Amino acid sequence: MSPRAAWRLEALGFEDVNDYVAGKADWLANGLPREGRAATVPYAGDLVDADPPTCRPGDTVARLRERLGGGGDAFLLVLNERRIVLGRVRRGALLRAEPSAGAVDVMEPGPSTVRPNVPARDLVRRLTDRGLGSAIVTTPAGRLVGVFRRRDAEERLGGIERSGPPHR
Amino acid sequence: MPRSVDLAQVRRLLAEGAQLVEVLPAAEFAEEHLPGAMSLPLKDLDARTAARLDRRRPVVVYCYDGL
Repeated sequence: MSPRAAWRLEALGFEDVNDYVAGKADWLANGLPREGRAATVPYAGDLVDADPPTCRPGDTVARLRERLGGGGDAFLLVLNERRIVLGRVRRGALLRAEPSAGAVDVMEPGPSTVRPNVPARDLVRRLTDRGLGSAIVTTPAGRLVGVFRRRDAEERLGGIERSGPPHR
Repeated sequence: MPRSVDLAQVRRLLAEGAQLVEVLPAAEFAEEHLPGAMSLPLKDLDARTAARLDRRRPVVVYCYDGL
């Protein structure tokens, strides 16, 4: 539809017409702000932990153990310099690996991800149905948006229902 | 000739003062749209409705996914 609109504007004499072909779907899938009635519906990207434990491919297992520490996180995400998600290292894998091994040696490559514009309530339901506690949220290009934790999201969704929609 | 642009180019154009135009039906615009966009549905796009746009500034049109 937008290509036809662009050509029509050009025919009407507009000289600098640009067609964002990937459109609204691309904008929302990148977790960017939105307006309108549906903006009050929380998306996955609204409720992520945007600063989860991460590491670089060359980091050693010893360093990853330190980073994960005794906290409640079950995994670290392996990111490149552009924050593209390369893999996931689970706590259990760290315990079994040699301290000198690299993150890239113990990671699960290409973990499943979801886009930030999935409605948060739908994602909670999907995770619950599959017995999962979290989901990795990335842009279509694979850049990390954050980790969506089911329990946190359930609490926040409950709070939103009591007090109104989130502020973006 | 209209130029196809990606997300990075859109953001740059907007920062430079481009006008953002959603060409989907008005009901879809009301439901959800990009910040600062104006609604100019393709079915209504003619010289009269296009007069709302500033001809001196770049225009970025979008729909849902180009189809």
